[in-house]
Amino acid sequence: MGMRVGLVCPYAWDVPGGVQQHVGDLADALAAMGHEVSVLAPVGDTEAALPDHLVPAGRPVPVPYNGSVARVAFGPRAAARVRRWIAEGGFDLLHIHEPAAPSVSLLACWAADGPLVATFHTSNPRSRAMAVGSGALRSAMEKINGRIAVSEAARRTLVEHLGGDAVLIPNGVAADAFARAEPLPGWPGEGGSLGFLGRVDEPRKGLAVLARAFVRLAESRPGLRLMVAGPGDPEAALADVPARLRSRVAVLGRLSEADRVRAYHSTDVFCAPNLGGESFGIVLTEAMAAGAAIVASDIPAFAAVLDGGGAGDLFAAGDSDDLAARAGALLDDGARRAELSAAARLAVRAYDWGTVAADVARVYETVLMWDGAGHGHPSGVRLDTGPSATALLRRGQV
Amino acid sequence: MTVFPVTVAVAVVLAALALGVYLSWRATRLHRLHVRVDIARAALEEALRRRGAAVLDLVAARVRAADDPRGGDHGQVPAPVEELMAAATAALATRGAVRGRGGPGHGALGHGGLDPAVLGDGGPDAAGPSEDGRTGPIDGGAARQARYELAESRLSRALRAAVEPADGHVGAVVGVPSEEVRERLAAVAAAARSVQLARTFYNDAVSDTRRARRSRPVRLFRLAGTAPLPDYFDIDDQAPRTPYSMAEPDTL
Repeated sequence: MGMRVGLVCPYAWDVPGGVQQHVGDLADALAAMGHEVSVLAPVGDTEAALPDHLVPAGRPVPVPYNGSVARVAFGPRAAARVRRWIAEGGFDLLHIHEPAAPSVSLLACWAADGPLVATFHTSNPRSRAMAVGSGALRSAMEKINGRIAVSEAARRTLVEHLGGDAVLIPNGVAADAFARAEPLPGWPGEGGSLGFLGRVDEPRKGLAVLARAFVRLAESRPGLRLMVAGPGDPEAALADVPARLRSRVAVLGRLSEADRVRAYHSTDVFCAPNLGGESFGIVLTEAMAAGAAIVASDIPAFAAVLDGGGAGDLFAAGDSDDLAARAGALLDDGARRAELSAAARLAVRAYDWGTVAADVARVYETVLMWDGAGHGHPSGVRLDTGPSATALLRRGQV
Repeated sequence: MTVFPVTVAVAVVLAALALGVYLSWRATRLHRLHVRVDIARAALEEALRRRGAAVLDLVAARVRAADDPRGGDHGQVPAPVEELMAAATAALATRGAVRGRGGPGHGALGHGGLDPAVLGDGGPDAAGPSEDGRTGPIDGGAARQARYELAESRLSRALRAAVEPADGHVGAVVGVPSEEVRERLAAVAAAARSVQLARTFYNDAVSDTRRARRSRPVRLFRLAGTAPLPDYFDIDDQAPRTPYSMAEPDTL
């Protein structure tokens, strides 16, 4: 039986990001399972090609949030759009992503009454937004019937700030879409190659760590090259790479979807040098789905996804010497690379969207099981009518 | 001279109004939390009932398969399967007893709002609310609640013991070539996952409600009224690792 589900994404739809991709893939997977889906998200570029099920929630503004710049929509106009979307949507249930984010997510929590599911993506023990707001946010958060965390770290973060509990459902990856692709022209090349994918100007993505490791390796390996793919200005991260090695660093910038898949197939060793704050690592699971031989930092989220090192080598986060040693060993050992590649393809299957979306749908069914039954409310999602004086009169009578 | 008392009167009225709005906001929030706990509790009990029923279906299929000449175990049902049946039967019966005493309810879902028959087979004494009129698993219900939790935990353990491989042998439930067993096991695995989800959501709702009930305005103005304080539902709900989920054909 199909459900009518409203998904809320707090970040600008036309800017690539983990949460946006998660919501988009989930929407596709749910639609494929026969559910009706509508996605509400801020959209900056009105010319951008949007999927049919997307409802724009207004122009986003950039605000610093959780260590990066988030593009969010907040304010009376966004609030009005959220209310209209809820009023006209006729949803059985809302699934709000990053509900504490000061954007349409929080607005939707406030505006909606009825079955709410929320997914927490952030894993940041010192999330200021969550800490500052935990009192003010509570009235919104306590309306949520079912909470999902995408990683153990994200779950801990939310338990510390908000109390309660959440079920763990990892991010999904469209494994089949990454399984096979031609390498980009000229790659991986004869002399060996290292790969990086992600925002290059965000320090916590760790490109600077990889750059230092590359310098160390490049001295003794004349053919070694480094592929850097992702949006942003890489100059700061590559500051430690001397001029004579610059020609061996290929900065590709932002890649198209198709080229991104090819990039995972283009290098001998794929590096995920993140310093932390990564609740899950969509890039990591994509690389696994592509069957890349991976060296990743040993932050808890990555160690968990890589089966504690069985599906990819782990190095001490932030330690470029350790990264250089492990990447070097892998470059020299083709058999080990093949072994890790096969293990990665196997391990990533637990994170395939088919598996993940089925679990999310089961959450919906659990939350909806008794919605509307016997407590005098209509079923489904409606607008919150605010404080009611009758609640004072019927205290304790549910 | 007359301005002063008027100002005071206006201020008092405004303050009373503001307090009234604030209190009704808090009462609305609390009411919503109580509704959330009730819905989550009903969903949890339904999930447990479905798991019990799915396990009995699985056992029935396994018993049929035991007589299968192609590789059954000649009519002998292994001990773990018998324990599984006993555990499921006990869990369903205990659930019925708890429900019969007035249900999970802190309110309408237990009785009045919903016909107990809709909520599932109410057990032998599902006739109505308990004699003392109390509704929750508070009071004498605490012992029944504990029995319920123990019975469901036992079912979780029995399920793992019967399904998961041990000592290099496949689980006792699985060791027969039966498509029916395979299908029913998948249904049991899904039901066990739903129990985990429903229990997490219920305990989450209980936790939010108990915190709200501790807050000063709620206690001072008795905003909780007569609603009983909800209790956590503590069981071992770890789902079995099924052999089929571990070894699927390599499609990549």
